[in-house]
Amino acid sequence: MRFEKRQRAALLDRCWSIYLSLTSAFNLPENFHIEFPAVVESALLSGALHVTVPVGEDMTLSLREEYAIDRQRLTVSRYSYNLIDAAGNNFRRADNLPFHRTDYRKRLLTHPPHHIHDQRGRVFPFSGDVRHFIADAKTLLSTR
Amino acid sequence: MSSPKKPRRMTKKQFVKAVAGGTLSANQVIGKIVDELQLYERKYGMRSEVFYALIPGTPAEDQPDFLNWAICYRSYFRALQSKFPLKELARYAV
Repeated sequence: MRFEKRQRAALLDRCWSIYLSLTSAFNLPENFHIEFPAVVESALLSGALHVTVPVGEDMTLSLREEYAIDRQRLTVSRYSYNLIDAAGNNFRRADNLPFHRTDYRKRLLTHPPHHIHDQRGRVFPFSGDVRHFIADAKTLLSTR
Repeated sequence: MSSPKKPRRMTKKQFVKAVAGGTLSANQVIGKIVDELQLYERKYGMRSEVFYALIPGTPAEDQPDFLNWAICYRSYFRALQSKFPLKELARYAV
């Protein structure tokens, strides 16, 4: 996918907002700030952003977004946000795969297909907003 | 007691400048994606083409590795397309 000027600007804006959310929520290692532009460069060529960053003492935040151009607008067509513990288990993970309509209590999701799984695989409602996932991860880490 | 040094956050101007002045080539991006695809292929003993024909679009995709693998596989083709834009390839059409 070759992004046109306007689409490149939209993708840069999206990546910048993720950078702001991450750096506002966590005290990230110095090399994250150095490496992030290269991650964005890669996204401009591949149409997908993949950020992995250590948060807290033993957790990793992995954010993956795939972009599409819809009527000249950049949209996140697929995403996978993961909070992973030291053993590699997904502590929290959010995605927009269309296979869930209800949460684990059989109540309709508030923003389908967006949902979040806890470490036991139970499905919870999720807004689909990466900022909410980051804020949730921050709260989880501060209460552990 | 001094507090731990907080890494300096980029400004948006610095960020845009760093991305625009980057030196990553399409080959490097494709190489990284291929490395990741090969990790999944070794882990699950399956070629990416076979995985992609079988799993995405089914409920089995709702597993972190499979979801990431599918995104990675599609981004491989997008990166290839960046290297060889369709306009350029059209020359070779018969």
